[in-house]
Amino acid sequence: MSKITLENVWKRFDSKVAVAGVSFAVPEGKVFGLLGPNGAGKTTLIRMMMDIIKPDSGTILYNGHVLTSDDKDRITYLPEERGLYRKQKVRDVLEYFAELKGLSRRDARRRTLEYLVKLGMDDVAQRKIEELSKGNQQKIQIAATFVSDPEVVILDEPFVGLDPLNVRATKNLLAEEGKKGKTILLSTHQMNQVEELCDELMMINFGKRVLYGPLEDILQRYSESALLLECSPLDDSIPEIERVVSQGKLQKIYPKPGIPPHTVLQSMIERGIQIESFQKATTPLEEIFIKVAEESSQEVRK
Amino acid sequence: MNKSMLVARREYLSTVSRKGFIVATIGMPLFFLVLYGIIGGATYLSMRQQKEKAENVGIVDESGLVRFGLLAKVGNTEAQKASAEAEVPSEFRNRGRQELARLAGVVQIKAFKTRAEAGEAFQRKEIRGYYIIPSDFLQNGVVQLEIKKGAFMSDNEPGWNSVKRLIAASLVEGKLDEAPARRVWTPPALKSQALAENGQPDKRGEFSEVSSFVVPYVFTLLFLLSIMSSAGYLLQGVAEEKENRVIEILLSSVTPNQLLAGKVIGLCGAGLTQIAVWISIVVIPSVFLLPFLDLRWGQLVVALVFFPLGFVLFGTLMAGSGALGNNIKESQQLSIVWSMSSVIPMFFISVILSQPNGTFARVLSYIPLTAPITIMMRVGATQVPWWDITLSAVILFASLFVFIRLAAKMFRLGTLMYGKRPSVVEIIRWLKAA
Repeated sequence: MSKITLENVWKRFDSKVAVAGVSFAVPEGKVFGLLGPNGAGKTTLIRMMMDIIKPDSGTILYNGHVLTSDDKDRITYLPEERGLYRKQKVRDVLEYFAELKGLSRRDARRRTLEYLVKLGMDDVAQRKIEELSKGNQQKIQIAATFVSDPEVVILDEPFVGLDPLNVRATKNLLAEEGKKGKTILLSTHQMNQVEELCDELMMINFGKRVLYGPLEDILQRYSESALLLECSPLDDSIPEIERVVSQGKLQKIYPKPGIPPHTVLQSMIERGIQIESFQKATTPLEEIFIKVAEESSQEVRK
Repeated sequence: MNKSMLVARREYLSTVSRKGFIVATIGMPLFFLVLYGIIGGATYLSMRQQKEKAENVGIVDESGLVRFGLLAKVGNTEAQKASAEAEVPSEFRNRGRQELARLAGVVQIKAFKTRAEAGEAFQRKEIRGYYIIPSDFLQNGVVQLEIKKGAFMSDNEPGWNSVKRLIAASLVEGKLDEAPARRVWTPPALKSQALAENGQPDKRGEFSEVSSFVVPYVFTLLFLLSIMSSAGYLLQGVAEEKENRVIEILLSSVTPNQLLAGKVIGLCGAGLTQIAVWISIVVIPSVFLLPFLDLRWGQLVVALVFFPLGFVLFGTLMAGSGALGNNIKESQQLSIVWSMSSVIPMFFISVILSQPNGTFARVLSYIPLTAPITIMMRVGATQVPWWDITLSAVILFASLFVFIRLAAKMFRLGTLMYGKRPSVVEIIRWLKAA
């Protein structure tokens, strides 16, 4: 079942079309990647999903019904450029954000303390935000997103500015919250994070959807039917191979159309070629991103 | 709790706990108390110094008319400036005069036979100057004064009233009986009695005239001060939230209208707290003045209606336009138009006070932005028809709905807009589109 569904959503600002008939569904309990170059329309999409701005046309559904302001209480948002009330105490800020999401004062207080204990930060509860280190401020910011126990969390570039330790801590946190069945929408430019964390993704460029589906399917769709091998030198004698490209220690082998990889491998072994390792060559998401972005740019220029 | 009230609570608490707010709230009345204390103290000290160098003036009678023996009778001493016909209520006047005379010291008048003698005394610094009553005084009525001029604002005709009385007394001496003679050299004193509406003496005396303006004056002062200071905090808050992007988190939880409403409610709370503190610091110690004050309760009611309406109007507009800026500086520039329009009636104070029920004053009280202060000035100056006040209040109240919608639109646009500050034309176009 999908948690949030967008159907043919349009949004214009003056004469500029920010979102052009975009449709996609964020499945419940999954991590969904929202990708796109800068200025592609991601923030506008997020703001519409948060009911901060209204679409000009199209429908946004939450749990199958049209999104209303009441649904805001179940969705939280971590904006890309972030900040908190610097002069206020950690605890007050977290409680305030939790209360704004509809928690009672008592529950907000309890959840705040629980969350701070979980992050190992209960000792800073009474400190002012500005007194914390940058990394700890970021952690509090992420805590502010989860403290109200939302159903959906929208994170815009959550790893930017974090050191590797905090990146790992944040990933663990996301994994843990994901296990609890939370739906996470991740907007990021870091493709390795998407490959690592996301189940499905949607890419937008110039306001249009240009890539959409389960991550595995997309990787599959864009992967060439090539093999990466660490092996002794190859010559042209193998009839099943169309061409060979050297990639450092590895050789990238493109079989002739219609020939499955195992036939190529069998033929190589028969010819006495020593194979140390082999794997299916996949195209990294980053390359897919660049390829799709360039293609869609060219289309727009036409 | 309602989300607007949550925002209001936070806004209120964060505003009243700001150092700037606390300093302004406690410091402003103290500042004025200290300022007036310094002014009063300085005046007192300068008068004490004058007393220490009591002045003498000479008088040279060339006409032979003056009978110096009468000096004791007319009073050869005189308080400096004390007889100045200041518009001081009579009950204060006598006490004030005595007090000034005590402080300021007296002018001694000395008689000299010739100008030369007086001139020598001047050179010896025994006198500051001398009056000459020339031989043709009866024909011309001119008295000559030769004197070393004092500093700006100082008394440059010391003892002149005594000299006048001495001449008058000398002229009528032996020609009139004692009583009419005294009326000649002592000018008549005026005693006035204030009347209440019903024709009975107003027991609050002459002060009532001044005090009818107390409520409007205090209203205007507090209104402007609190709008300027509290709205400043609101602007600062919105600009900060925009700068650090907290606004996006807030808008993911509340609607822009809820956020705006919460902010304005919190601001009103902070503003009213500030005024309550000011009133208790300044007004409560002045309670002993109440018997003298002509506090018109009707004025208080008008103030209690127009103050919150005006406060909400300006607070909302300032928050709305403030949201269009990228930082506190831009926000202040954008919202200055509202603070300027709130003081417009002050520029026309003479027109409004001279014709409080005139067309101009009435038009200003029908314009929402100028209504609160104009109405208070008018009710301070005269009896304003009740329907006129009601009409003004109704227009102001109705305009709140329009202005709140306008401000909410600006706020919605502004909160999510970053980058270049929009031009007025752009703002108008967006508002039409929004």
